[in-house]
Amino acid sequence: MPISVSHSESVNIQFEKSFSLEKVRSALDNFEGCKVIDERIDGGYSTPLEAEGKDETFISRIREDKTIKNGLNLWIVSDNLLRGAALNAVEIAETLIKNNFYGK
Amino acid sequence: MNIAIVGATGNVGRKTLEVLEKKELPFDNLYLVASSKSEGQKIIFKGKDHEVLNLENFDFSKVKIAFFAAGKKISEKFAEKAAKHCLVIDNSSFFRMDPDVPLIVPQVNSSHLDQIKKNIIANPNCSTAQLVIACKPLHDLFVIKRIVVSTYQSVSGGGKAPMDELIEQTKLVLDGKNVKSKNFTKQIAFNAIPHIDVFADDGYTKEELKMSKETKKNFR
Ligand SMILES: NC(=O)c1ccc[n+]([C@@H]2O[C@H](COP(=O)([O-])OP(=O)(O)OC[C@H]3O[C@@H](n4cnc5c(N)ncnc54)[C@H](OP(=O)(O)O)[C@@H]3O)[C@@H](O)[C@H]2O)c1
Repeated sequence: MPISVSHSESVNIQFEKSFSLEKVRSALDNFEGCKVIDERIDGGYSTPLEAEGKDETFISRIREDKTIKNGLNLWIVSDNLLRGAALNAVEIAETLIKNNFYGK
Repeated sequence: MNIAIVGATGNVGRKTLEVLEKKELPFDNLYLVASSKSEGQKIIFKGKDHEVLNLENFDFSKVKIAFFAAGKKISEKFAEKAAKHCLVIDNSSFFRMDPDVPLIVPQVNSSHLDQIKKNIIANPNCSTAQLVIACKPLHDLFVIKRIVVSTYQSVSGGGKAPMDELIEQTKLVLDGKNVKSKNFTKQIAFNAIPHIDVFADDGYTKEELKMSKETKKNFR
């Protein structure tokens, strides 16, 4: 896309189990590194420009896919140089240090 | 403890510097490494000048952790040698599907970190990383059966050169001039290209196959 930074994803998920949108929302919002921006009004979603420079992965447009069983649609946006690269790599290093390099 | 960044002058390398400036990672010295082209160039980190060193003669025994962000070919050629002396965290795709290399998003599968065999840890593809971090809490609760994903990726995923070219092309178009693409298969300004990485026999591209394989490895 003619966009400098941040990747966007339109995602369709089918689950084994049934779900509620409320639980989906709270599970996403409470997960470290994720943030829900989903207001169902004009502009109530995240865009690549707004995700640029941010550590979080943003989840918007959370809605049920009623054409399949246990189906969900999402819009996921994140700074590709952070979660997709630099931030993730540094967080791996932090995890290693915290755990004394797992004895290595 | 010392740290090195290989590819420190590139998009991912410079971002890694920014992240390290913000975080409280406890290290002593930082070595910035790139190609001979950048040797001697100065980069400021935490207010201090750091000279860029040449990868060809960098001694990895000086560091405990080396971040690799210089592309697949460089990782292929240098990462295993470096891993004899230090832990390598690799941004390229080269080791991602190696069964002896954990593929990690810390919030998702840090438990795989106790299976480090080659002293190399791989960072997933950028599109995979953001997909799995959002899918993980949902998979834990409702068990994912199938994912269909379309990605709309920015040009920085291809490195600094394509990022600069988007700006150049946009200016040319606005000035009513002709555009000839260098880093893209078609004009990228005011357009959308349905293709990243090389085509496989079945019509998919490697980027698409990477996402599907890496997601499964991450969730294993
Ligand atoms: N999933 C992820 O984590 C993710 C996301 C985005 C990118 N990446 C990967 O990260 C890597 C770097 O991407 P980028 O976007 O930062 O690319 P980039 O902006 O083109 O930067 C490339 C870097 O590699 C260095 N380099 C090139 N040839 C070299 C050589 N022969 N010896 C030593 N250093 C050399 C360059 O140094 P000079 O300036 O000296 O040429 C530069 O620092 C790629 O493997 C890319 O696929 C991964």
